[in-house]
Amino acid sequence: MNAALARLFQAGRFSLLAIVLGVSLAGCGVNNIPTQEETAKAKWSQVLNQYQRRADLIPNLVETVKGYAKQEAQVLEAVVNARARATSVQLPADVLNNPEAFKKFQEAQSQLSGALGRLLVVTEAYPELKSNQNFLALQSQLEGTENRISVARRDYIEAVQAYNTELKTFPGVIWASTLYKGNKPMETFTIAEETKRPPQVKF
Amino acid sequence: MRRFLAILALLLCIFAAPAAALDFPLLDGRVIDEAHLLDAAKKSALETRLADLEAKTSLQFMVVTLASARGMTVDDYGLELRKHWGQDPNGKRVALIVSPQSGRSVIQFDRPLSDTLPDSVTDAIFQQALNPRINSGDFSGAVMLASEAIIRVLSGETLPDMRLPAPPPQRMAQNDITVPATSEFPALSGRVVDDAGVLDAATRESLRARLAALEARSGIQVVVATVKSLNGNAVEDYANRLFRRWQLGQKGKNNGVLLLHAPAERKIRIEVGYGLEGTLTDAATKYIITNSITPRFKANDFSGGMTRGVDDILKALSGDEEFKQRIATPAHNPLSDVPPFVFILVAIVLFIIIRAIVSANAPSQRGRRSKSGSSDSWFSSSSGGSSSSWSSSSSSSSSSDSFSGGGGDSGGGGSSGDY
Repeated sequence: MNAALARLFQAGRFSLLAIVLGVSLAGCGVNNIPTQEETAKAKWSQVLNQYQRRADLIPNLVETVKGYAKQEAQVLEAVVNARARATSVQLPADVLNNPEAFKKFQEAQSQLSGALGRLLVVTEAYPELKSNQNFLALQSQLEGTENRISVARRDYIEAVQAYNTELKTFPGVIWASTLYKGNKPMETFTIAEETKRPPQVKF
Repeated sequence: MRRFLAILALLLCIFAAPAAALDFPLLDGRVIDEAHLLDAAKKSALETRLADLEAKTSLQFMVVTLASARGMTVDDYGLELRKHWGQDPNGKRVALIVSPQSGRSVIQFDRPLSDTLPDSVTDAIFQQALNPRINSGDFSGAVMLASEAIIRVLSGETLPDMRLPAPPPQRMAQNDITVPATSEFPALSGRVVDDAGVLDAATRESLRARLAALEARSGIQVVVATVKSLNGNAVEDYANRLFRRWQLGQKGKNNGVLLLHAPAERKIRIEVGYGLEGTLTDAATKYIITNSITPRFKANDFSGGMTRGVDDILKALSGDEEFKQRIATPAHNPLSDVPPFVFILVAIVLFIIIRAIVSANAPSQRGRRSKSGSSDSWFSSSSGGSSSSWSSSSSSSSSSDSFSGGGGDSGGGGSSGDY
């Protein structure tokens, strides 16, 4: 009986220590780094999602424009090529910590944005195309997707900012140098917005 | 050590396990006051009255107050609750169910009693007894008076005069601000926020009523806003940030819509929450802006344009066929992206589940059949009784409830336009 009680008491002391340690650590923010890293990763996958959605819209768009503006073959081809390049970029698993891979990805997407912008400028000269319901719907979907891309990027930038700051400031810097030695700051979008947005043409 | 760990794990599981099943209050009398609206004296007095009623007329009247409708409509939850309590319809049951949390109340009764409790009577009870008191927060008074009125009617007496002695002044929904203004954004003072002052009062009120009805029906939060200035922001950016600030739509479902008009910059935007992007597509919102709103705005008919825009948004949200024809876009069918083997897998799993259910219920099949027979008349009688009460209770309670966002989010879906 006594032995059992003694063992229970020992177990009780262990549990108390474990609980106190757990609670205090959680309060000190040891969980912030992994939490924020996961948030940033989630926002990044949303960014990728929206870029993919844009890439998916393009074949339909190209077909529709071809129906009305076959002579603009050059511009259409540029769009198709840019899309192929953008979707073929192999993203390494650590793209978020790898500046070169990240830059390559950004560049591929911005080239696609440029090609799309030129295509939309060119379609302004075809009134039949502009009044086609199909084209209008595609254009609105494209605009919507570009907007979603900027919102997703904005969310990602904010999440990465929070994460990078946590890695550098107290008390995060303590946990970063002890428990999370492998965590590096994440890459963020740096190129100015203007170069990404397709040019708006107003007559 | 191992024993302790096992106990700890067990405790954690108990605390962490979410309550997935629908829960019901305990059936411990004729008055189930889960929302604790009545004090002990009132409760026992009401119990006595209900027992007397049953002794005199053999009609069974129950009064239920709900702490929450568990995510269902009060009407549906009430039916589930009575099913759970095993109350088969016997032609003699009436239930008054009040949910103070949502301000809605419902009177459910079996079909044979529809002559005793016609629409005129239930309407009077809602309009005179329940709604004014619920709207002013006097829940116990509402419950007691409505119960008294129903008891009188069931006893064959006439309805008492249940009007409030001095009707409370109608609070303007616009005065209940749930999200304050900042230098950049207006306050969320209701479903129609006319910060730029371009809508007339009649339009504001009619839009507000329709948007409230929409939310009552489907939980979708649509807000119409006009702002004095975008402060140099792009309308897409501004609308998205305003949407997120006001948190339109239910958390998790993200079913909010913001119709924004900036007269100073002559810009319009319909911002759609994540959850509605499939229903209210970019193409649909672009169509609405280009065809319904912009022409009227160009002619300076802001109220007409807004009304027509809201009309079309409601049509799109309800899946109106005629509207879909008008747009006739090559919609991106998300189902086409799912590889076919997933469908086969789902079908197999469902098949296995159904077989398991059928084989488990085989022994009690006889009893089941008779039960399902009675549940048919159950549903039809109580829905016949409560449909009228449903509409009157919701319309009145929404006229002066304060509107607040549900925690929803938007990812930049929707379209913009200018005029």
